[in-house]
Amino acid sequence: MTQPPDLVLIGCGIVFETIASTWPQLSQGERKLQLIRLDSTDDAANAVNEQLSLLNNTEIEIFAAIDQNALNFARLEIYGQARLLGLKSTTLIHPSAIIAPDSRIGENCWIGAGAIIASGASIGNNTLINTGARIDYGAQIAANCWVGSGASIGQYVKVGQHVVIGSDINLGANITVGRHCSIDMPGAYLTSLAEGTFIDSLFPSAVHIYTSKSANKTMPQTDITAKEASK
Amino acid sequence: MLSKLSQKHYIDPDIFAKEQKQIFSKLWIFAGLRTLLSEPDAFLTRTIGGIPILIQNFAGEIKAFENQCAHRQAPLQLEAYGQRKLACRYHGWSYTDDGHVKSIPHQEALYHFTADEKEKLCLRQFAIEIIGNLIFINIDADPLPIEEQFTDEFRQQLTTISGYFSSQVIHTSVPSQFNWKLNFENVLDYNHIPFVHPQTFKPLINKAAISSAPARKALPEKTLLSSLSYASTMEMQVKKWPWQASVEGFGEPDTFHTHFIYPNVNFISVGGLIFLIQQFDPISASLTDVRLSLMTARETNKIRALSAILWGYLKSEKRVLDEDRALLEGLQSNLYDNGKPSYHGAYEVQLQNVAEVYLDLMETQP
Ligand code: FES
Ligand SMILES: [Fe+2]
Repeated sequence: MTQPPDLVLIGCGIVFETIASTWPQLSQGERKLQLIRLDSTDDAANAVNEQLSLLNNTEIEIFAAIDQNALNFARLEIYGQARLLGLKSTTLIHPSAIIAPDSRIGENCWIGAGAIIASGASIGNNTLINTGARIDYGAQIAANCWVGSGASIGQYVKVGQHVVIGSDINLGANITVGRHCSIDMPGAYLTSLAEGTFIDSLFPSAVHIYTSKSANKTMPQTDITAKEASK
Repeated sequence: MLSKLSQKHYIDPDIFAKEQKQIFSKLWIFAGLRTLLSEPDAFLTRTIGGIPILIQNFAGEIKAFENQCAHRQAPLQLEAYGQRKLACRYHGWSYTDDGHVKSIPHQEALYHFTADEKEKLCLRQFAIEIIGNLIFINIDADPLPIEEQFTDEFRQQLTTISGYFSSQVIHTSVPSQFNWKLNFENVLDYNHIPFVHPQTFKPLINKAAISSAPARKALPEKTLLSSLSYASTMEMQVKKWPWQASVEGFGEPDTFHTHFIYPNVNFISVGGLIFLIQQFDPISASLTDVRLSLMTARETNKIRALSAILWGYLKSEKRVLDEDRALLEGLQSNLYDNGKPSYHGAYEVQLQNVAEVYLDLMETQP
């Protein structure tokens, strides 16, 4: 029988420390763990490039574990760099998580203790689902996201790339959260959020990113002239 | 010396109403960013001098109209920034690019307007001036020539620097419980920085500036409105950002740029790489919306994490603003009708100039 490859855990923060400390449980004693702990998330890919290039992809798998810093771009830097170097990234699931067999989970994902991934749900690459979060039936969470502890994502919800859903947030069923959003004020959210929306206790109202090309956040346009009663 | 403004100027609703007429309805007021109106039918909405305004791109030309339908006053555009043809959601009237009613659904069956009546239905249009990527509006029927408010030199400076704006902008509005004038005075007052922002602004504190307060003003000379809006720079160690190689920055590196745009804008740039426009939008005598728009210099290579970068900077700017807000809100809540006016030292000459022009504007008879 072949030995499962060792895991190289790279990063810092909550998920990094959680995986490091629960490793005996996660690996059931069968895999060795090697840690590359970063001091800072700035320019992370450059910081680890040399160490990554010394790794041998037949003997190890990696897991990029940086929290939601910079809308998950900091973690993507390491995960992306590892892929460029031909390293294989793994997905880690806490043994107490409940995962429906027909759900789909990408690579470099973490499913924390007690999390529930319902039937038909999908989780993109490099997305971290934290302790006790619940992803309901048919919900789709794109790549490079973060779902905080105790958050719930309603059925058929669609979440775009690089979204941060903070702890204890409840997204109502069927809504869409555009890419590059951060919702970090606990509560229930029942309407869709446009791309580039930020909800945070530091700001009394939502913050928006506008761009000249995607400035269209209005309702679908109806052609009024065409509807005019023509005689 | 004593300020010419009394505490009443910061709390009295009648004075506030007069300011809305004499200042915000007479002067050129910053309204928004040209960079976000580059597409046909891109628009922005604002309230200026108490009037709801829409500014929209009509086949390349930017125009400003009252944002109120000629039928029954519904707003024609709703969002702060968006893109949509000019038409009303209530009963479907649509408008031409000169603000006339273009079509009225069921006109013949329901309205019976004569051709003459229909011709007279139109939106009030306002004067606009586009300085680089900054849009200014003047809602007066007979607008002040712009050079009386902003010198040629200043307009040229604004044109140049704003030409470096990226078209991706993070924007928010922060309701604050103080009079708008307190915030404009606060940005003119560099001496508050070491006291109110000891941590956040440490690298900005410039000893030279602090030791060089101008001599007291010779009193008789009249202060011109156009002298209140100007640019200044100071040296500053600007942190090296990993993304800065991907943008075309403005001006010399390691420079902090600031532009005071009377009556209510402070526009700064850190190293010509990050630009922040702060506007103190008057809501009532004791309530101001501080509007923040922040962008980087325009990209030469795509920055994938740009939205995360903008969000990160906006959060740190908000923390700085909150230090000012805590102070100014405390100050405002203590003001009372017959309280003593401020007492200014030599370095506060600009506050005196602002007060002088303000009182002139308030007294000018229409
Ligand atoms: S109010 Fe605009 S169409 Fe009636
Ligand atoms: Fe300040």
